[in-house]
Amino acid sequence: MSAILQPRPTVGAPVLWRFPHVDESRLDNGLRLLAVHLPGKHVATAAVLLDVPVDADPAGQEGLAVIAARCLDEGTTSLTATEFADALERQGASFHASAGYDGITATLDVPVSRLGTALPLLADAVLNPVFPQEEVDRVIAQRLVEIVQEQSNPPSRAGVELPRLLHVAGTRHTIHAAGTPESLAALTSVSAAYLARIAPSTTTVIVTGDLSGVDVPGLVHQSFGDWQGTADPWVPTSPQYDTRRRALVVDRPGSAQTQLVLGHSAPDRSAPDWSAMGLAAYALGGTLTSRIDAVLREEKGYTYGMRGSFAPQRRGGAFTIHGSVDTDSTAPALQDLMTVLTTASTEGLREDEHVAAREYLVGVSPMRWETPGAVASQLGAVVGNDLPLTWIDGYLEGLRTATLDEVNAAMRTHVRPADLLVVAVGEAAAITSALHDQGWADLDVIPA
Amino acid sequence: MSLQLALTDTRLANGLRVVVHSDHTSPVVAVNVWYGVGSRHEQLHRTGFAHLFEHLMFQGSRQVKGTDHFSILQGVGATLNGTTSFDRTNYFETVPSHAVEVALWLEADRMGSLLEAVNQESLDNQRDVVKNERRQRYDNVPYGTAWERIFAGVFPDGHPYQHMPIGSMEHLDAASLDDVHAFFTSWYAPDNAVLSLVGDITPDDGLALAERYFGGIAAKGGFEAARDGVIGPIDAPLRVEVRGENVPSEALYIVFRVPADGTADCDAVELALMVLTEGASSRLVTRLVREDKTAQFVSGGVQRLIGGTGLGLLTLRTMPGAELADLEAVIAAELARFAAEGPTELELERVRAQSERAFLDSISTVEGLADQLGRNATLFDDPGRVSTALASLLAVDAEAVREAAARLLTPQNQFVLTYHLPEAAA
Repeated sequence: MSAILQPRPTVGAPVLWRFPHVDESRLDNGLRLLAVHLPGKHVATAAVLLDVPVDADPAGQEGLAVIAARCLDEGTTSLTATEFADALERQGASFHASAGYDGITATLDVPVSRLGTALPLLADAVLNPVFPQEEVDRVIAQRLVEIVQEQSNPPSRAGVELPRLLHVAGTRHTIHAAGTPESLAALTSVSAAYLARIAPSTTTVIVTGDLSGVDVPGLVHQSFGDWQGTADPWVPTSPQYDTRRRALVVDRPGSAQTQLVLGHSAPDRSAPDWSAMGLAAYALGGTLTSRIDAVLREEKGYTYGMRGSFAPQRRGGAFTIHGSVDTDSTAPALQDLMTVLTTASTEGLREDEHVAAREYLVGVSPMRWETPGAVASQLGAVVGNDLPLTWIDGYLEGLRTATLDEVNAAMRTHVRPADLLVVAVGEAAAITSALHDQGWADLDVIPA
Repeated sequence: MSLQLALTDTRLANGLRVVVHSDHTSPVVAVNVWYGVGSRHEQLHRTGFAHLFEHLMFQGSRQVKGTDHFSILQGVGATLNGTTSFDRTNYFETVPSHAVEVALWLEADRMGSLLEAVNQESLDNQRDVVKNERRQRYDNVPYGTAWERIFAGVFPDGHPYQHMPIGSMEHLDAASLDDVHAFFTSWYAPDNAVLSLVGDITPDDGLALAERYFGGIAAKGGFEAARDGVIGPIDAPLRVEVRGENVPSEALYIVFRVPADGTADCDAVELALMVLTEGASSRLVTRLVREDKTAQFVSGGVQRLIGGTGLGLLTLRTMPGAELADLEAVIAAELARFAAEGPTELELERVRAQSERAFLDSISTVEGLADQLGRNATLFDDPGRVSTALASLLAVDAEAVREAAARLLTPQNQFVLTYHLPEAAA
């Protein structure tokens, strides 16, 4: 009983999709407002971007901005932490705050119908936090436990170790954004440091969702309009890279797999060939039909999946490849990986690979930015990394128009197999020689 | 709140159920196929098979070579994946609307002709991939096998939910091409599937395209029911202590057998557990994380299952120096207090608002809504339930929440799993 199946249909032309229109305005106090109306999206996102980046942490007190972000909902001048949580949660809202090189982002997700009630709570958290010492101490204690968890989880551990290899010893970029036990023990006056850095003129509020009938500027004015004060914009720190070809093995005896992270320095989103870089990275390691997984997963079965991508920071960044392979396959997987990368570099990508990358990255745009949270997050990445709002359209235009030659040039410039550093978390006795054999002679082994 | 979704719900002559919801906001269509087969349908000596099979569904069919399923869809800008769970397996893609026919063609081709392409090589390769998936997600991470231990412990031998969808390494190793053929023949057919289409497509077009691409696949009928999973609460508390695994902190999981998804009891238990653990102002977070500072986090919820039972769960990890037994005693006291007093109106208002937002979030993408339609059609024979399930949850009153907690979140009805630090570090 054989099914009667239709032949493959032909596909029409795609509709040109554009990033949704952004309404930009400023309050009298200088606060920047970006509003995006997304029809039918009934849970809104409101995000406040504050110029409190982790590299502004005082030396020796790394982790301050992250702890400050985590303590924003631990009590304000008018509400205790429990009162704040209760008020927010009764609106069906959720609150989250984090910090990175692009500053602190405090985000609220709330049904649009309750935006007017919830927005003052968001403003209260970022403008009037009191950072009670008891709560700060508790959040620091939780961060210390988080460090222990990071150490014991292979992907987290590799992610923590790679920046220490990539950057010059002692520089900010080698220290975890959320601090170390030593730097957290040295934290003083989180409150003063935070309040000294925030000001309306360096702050952006982003509101996305179905905003029909919502007076967003009016609501934001009610919550943030009375805020006064000044602060100098932060001058971001550029990373200093240590380019020696090194490897680190984190010895975790009995591991079922080796967690691998390879990386080297790369530019940030302001690079003129950023779109071409994205196309190249997709063709190499974007999906399971990309060059790396076509061999390591679909031909050899060494891994559940290995991805390669550019990881930009506010200044600089890295090209990284990460994934895990079963312990016995570590040596052949590394060898195949390096062969894939050097072959791509020598021979270049083919036109069909370029087209596949372009059609995916361009075509997926409406899915990628379908939700209010995703749109707000993209705008936050633009603002937090000092890019103009026109950057998004330029990026998409670049994806559409980059030529194969440009993609190959970007790949050869920004993916350099011989420069890759590697962190391997796994059974050292079983995998160290594999790293030697692939040319990583400068190799340290540390206990997990 | 009331949510009115315009749905068309139709069956093709071969039994394929087609559910369409039009939303022309964005030029995309979510295509979602739910098959009524999950790990609960597996034979006891072939665990992990439904999931291994899901991988093979991406390895080609009559007109689709190798991994072309991925490259064809991604080549038009689609996102795609598949997942296997206890009760079902689903395959989904969100495609730009001009390419929806390609998605339907691909789904139909593998529904109708997968076995023409499966071979020993693809089976061996995907077996290795799945074994690495298992290592990555279960065996190589701290607490990675907690869920496996829970399902193995909370259900008796032979129960359809006693094993996880990922299955065991031995069973994966033993899977043969004959097993693949038998599995496909038993479960993969239009009359055991639901096709949901959400987005920039009209009901008429959706139905016509479904007929065109799936209409030539024959119905099978005679699908075997899963083994009976109906089971009540636990008679006497069960406990498993894990020592000697290299975990960074002590951990506690308390698991309750509760009624199946779709019952008022299941909703009531979920609300009770939310009052206890959801958000910074919940009872256990306030007590253990904020006041006592003995827990890193506390969380809880319901694992909704369809086959005669579900699970309620409370879990936490300790802060250094805290005694697990002390935390367990606090939870026992809070459960007893909740059973006696129930939630306050304010607490209930809070968790209802949180449930409403979570639900709106879950259907805020075309993919999310298509998934909900497939779920409700497959498990409840009612795609329209997506509009009413939330209302049912929100209608559970304080006394019903208290009563369900008093009856189900009891000291007897508990499977407790604890992780302890290695001796040297204790």
